[in-house]
Amino acid sequence: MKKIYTVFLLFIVATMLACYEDKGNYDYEDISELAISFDEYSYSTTFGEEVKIEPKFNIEIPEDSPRYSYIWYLNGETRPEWNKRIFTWTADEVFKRGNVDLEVTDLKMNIVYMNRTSLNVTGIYENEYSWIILSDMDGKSHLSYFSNLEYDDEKDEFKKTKFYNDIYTSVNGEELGTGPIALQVHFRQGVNYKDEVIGNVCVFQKSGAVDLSGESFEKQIDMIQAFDGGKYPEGAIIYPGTFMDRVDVLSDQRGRLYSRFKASSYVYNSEYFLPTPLCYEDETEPVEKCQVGRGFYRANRTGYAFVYDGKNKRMLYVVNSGYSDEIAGAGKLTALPACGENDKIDEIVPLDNMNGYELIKMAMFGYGYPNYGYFLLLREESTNKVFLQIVKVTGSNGRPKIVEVKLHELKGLPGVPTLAAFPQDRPEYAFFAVGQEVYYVDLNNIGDPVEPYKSFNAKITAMNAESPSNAHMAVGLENGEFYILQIWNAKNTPEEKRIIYPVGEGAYPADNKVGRIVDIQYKQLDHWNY
Amino acid sequence: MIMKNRNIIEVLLFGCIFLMALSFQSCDKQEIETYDAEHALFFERWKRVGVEDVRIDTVGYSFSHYVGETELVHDFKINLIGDLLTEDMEYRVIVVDSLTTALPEQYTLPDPPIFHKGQATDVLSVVLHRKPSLKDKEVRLTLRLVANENFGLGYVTYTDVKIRFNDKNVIPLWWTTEVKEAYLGTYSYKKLETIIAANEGFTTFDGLSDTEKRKIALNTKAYIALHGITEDDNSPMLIPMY
Repeated sequence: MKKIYTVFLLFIVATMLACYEDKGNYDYEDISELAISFDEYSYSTTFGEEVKIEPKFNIEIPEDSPRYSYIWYLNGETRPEWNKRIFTWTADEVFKRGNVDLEVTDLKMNIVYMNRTSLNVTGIYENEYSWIILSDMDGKSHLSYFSNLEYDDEKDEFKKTKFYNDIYTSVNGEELGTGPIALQVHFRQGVNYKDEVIGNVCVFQKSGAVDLSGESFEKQIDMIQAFDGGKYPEGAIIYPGTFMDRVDVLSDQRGRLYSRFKASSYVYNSEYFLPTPLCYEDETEPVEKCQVGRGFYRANRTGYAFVYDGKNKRMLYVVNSGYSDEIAGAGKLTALPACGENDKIDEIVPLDNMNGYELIKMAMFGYGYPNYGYFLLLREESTNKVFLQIVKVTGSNGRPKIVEVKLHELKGLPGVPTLAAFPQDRPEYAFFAVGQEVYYVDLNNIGDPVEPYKSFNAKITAMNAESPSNAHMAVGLENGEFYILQIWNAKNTPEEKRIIYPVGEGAYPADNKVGRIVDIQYKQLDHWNY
Repeated sequence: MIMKNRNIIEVLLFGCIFLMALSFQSCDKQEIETYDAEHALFFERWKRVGVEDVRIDTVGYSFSHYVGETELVHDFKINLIGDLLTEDMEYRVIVVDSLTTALPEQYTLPDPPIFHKGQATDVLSVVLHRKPSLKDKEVRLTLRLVANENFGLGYVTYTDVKIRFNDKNVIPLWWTTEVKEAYLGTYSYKKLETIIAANEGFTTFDGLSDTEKRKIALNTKAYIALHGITEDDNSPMLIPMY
């Protein structure tokens, strides 16, 4: 009986449900669903420059369509003027990986569609492929900055550039000094992985070196303040050297060396250079006529820098602090052996005795951590022949070990080069300036004669090839003209495509002439330049 | 069952009696010791040096680290409790014989010690004398503040100070492993004499910056080279600083 009753109840309920009136609306309407996209995954601009972001839609929307409204958000905030279809903004703040959100409202259907892209705004002086130029204007030091605002990697072309003539005076409201000598970019250790360190720029000049912020070109200190007692060693004019993690070494006009042990690798300047010139190991006479291989900007990867002792014609190296940051042994000058274990000493210029040769230029390169090397551009004094000796080294933490030394005669040069430039990362070419001409040698076929690369209308007075990916080389002339050459594929680049700045065939822009160019440095943006 | 209830009653009864006893006890008036003196003194015990607290009521000196000196003065800091003094006042310090091995000729104490007016702290200056009786010996001097008519005692455990001093050839405490490996190399008394000769006024590495330490080491290195100084056994006197 109970079962019959239950079945009856279920039947009644089901019957009542069937009587329920469905009032749903099944008259579907096409709402033209909108999909928003962007040309770029991430956009970039420079502080002070205008950025435009134009969205793409999956449907045709007339420019003046009243059906849609737009609101752009930059890092979660909007402004009244950001209500147009195209986002236009003159960057007034610097940030990395900012979010740009577009909200499009379909006013007819009252539906909001959204999409997001990314935007980087870099500081004015923090663009890739940019250069710092030091020149002599009637004896006065003159600092300029070439800024790449937009570069087409595929075509190897600058799309937008800006040249800041006399940037130091513009920023600091005073003259830089007199008797320009050289530039050196140097770094500190980042406090953490988010700390994007833009290296300081040290300007060496006869009136006294100054250290500038790499972010703003504002003067941070006169380098004389970094010397003990606030004065330079007697009669010394300070020249570049090497800035390592804890140990910094600078030279003077006599090629003597002075060092300081920084209290911390996290700051650019701390503690003081002592006036006592460095000696080799326990010798009592200071080394002289030295050239310091500037080495890596973050030399803790190697923990040493090569030093050419010109007075004794031998190669030394100076060490940073030990692996555990200890001071013991820091700043010590140590001799390099004559050559590697497998080298034939009569086929090279022994590193411990380079008598008979003049060192024209020394430059460091890398070929995969912890393998490094030095180019030694040598002139044989008795014959005036020019040689490139390539010293390959391995090891880090202040313990370089010579892997091999190879000596190559450079054939085909019309004279002894006054300048040379070497790309840093697994270089395939080396460049030499003789008068107004640039020559190159293919390092993979180093026995072949050098080839002319570019001829200029004035004497070449500065060259640098330390741009990322070995892409570019900057050339400065005695007449104040500044050029950028494409070099990554030197031997296959047609002559007419070798200069990529200034763009075009016209006369050199008068506004960009900066006196006699003394030095050019690539504006390194971080210390991991290998 | 009756037995069990009786036990509970006994426990409650004893508990009440115990609580009453405690209550009576709390009503008892006990005399609390107070400092009768208007002013009291105590020795400063700690000093902040960098990030560490360093004890300063116990110190050590070695005349061997002060080449040419026959007297050393050490100031112990004394703090005042109470209002600042309106006039200088004597306080009393005694030598604790049981904790002292120094001979009276080896030290001098102020007589009488004075706490000066208008200041919250003062110093007790103890002069140590390099006497022949101290040669190759180490002695100990323990001084104790005691109450007098002017001053009571501030903190009971802050009344004593100690000086250990000697005229023995010992490695200074500041000649640490780092100093040895990075700056000055292996200790020898002759090297210490040389360091002092090369660096006028030098007494210790403590509290010096890295630059100052380097200067001292490099000055010494240059001085050694200039004067051709060697160790007593004619081995080179090495300074591992560059």
